[in-house]
Amino acid sequence: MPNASDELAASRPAQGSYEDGRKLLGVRSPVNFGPLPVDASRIAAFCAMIEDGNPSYWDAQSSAKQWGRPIAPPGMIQVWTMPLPWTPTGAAELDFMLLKLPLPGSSLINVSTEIVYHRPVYVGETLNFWDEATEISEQKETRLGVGHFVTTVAHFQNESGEPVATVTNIQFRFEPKAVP
Amino acid sequence: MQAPRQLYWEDIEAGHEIPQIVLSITYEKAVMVPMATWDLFPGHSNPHYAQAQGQKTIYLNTTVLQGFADRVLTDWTGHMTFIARRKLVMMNSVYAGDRLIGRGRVERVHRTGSGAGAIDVAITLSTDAWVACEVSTTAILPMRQA
Repeated sequence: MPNASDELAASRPAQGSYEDGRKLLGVRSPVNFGPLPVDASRIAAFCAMIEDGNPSYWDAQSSAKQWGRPIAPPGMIQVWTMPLPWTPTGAAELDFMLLKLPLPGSSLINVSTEIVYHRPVYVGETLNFWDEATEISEQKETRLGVGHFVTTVAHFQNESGEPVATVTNIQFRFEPKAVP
Repeated sequence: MQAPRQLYWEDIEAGHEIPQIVLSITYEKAVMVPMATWDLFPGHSNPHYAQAQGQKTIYLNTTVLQGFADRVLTDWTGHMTFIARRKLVMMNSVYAGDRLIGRGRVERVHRTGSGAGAIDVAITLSTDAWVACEVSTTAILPMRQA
């Protein structure tokens, strides 16, 4: 059975110095393509999880009447470009600046996420995104450990290039304090 | 079937309190997080990993908290609400076994540059232990005088 240290290693972001990380500020990641279109079954699972009975997400006819086409919850925007851990052609992995930015610290945790939605996310469209790091703080110490706050901006669009959302994320890249 | 409730922009004033909603984060719900979001970061599914990070146990991901924060608002305003912007600031984790509580307040009622009816809302997500997230949301509502 995989243990915590195995998974810690598997999910470890790129390692490097603060100066290494700063060299990649403003560099665009490759485009990450969603593997499958936005679909009703995952919307239903998400809404069941948070017990959201909004008819825009459960009733395709009502949703289409209001929005032109059935829509997905806006909170799911990042979901549609997540890769599966196995496919017949190999494991797909996200290739984005947040994880490939070389910095000290083996772990990361989300601090804030600001999303501007340019329009609803429609069922049936396939999303993609690219991101860039725009800011890296100097070293900070928090109750979780010592590390850097990293700001990235991700641009989500559909397969026709229509802008859907802009996501500004701040994460803390850190080395966890030893658990007593 | 009863028509879903819907508030219009003209119905809302700054200072309106948004009713509290509560969600029990059972382990069943926590298991549904990677199922629905395909977020396989082990902090959301492996208690040993989460504890090695300094967390109590597995914790909810940002996507779920975004969805719940939106639900706090749209349960009150109705399904014809467009979330135009949301900023979610993480303050503390929400663990499997917690109760997640959402409440909010209307901060501002205004028109966008294109004349749409908008509201700015402050939403707090908390557990019985602490405030988990502070959320600020701008939503567009239908107008009676469209």
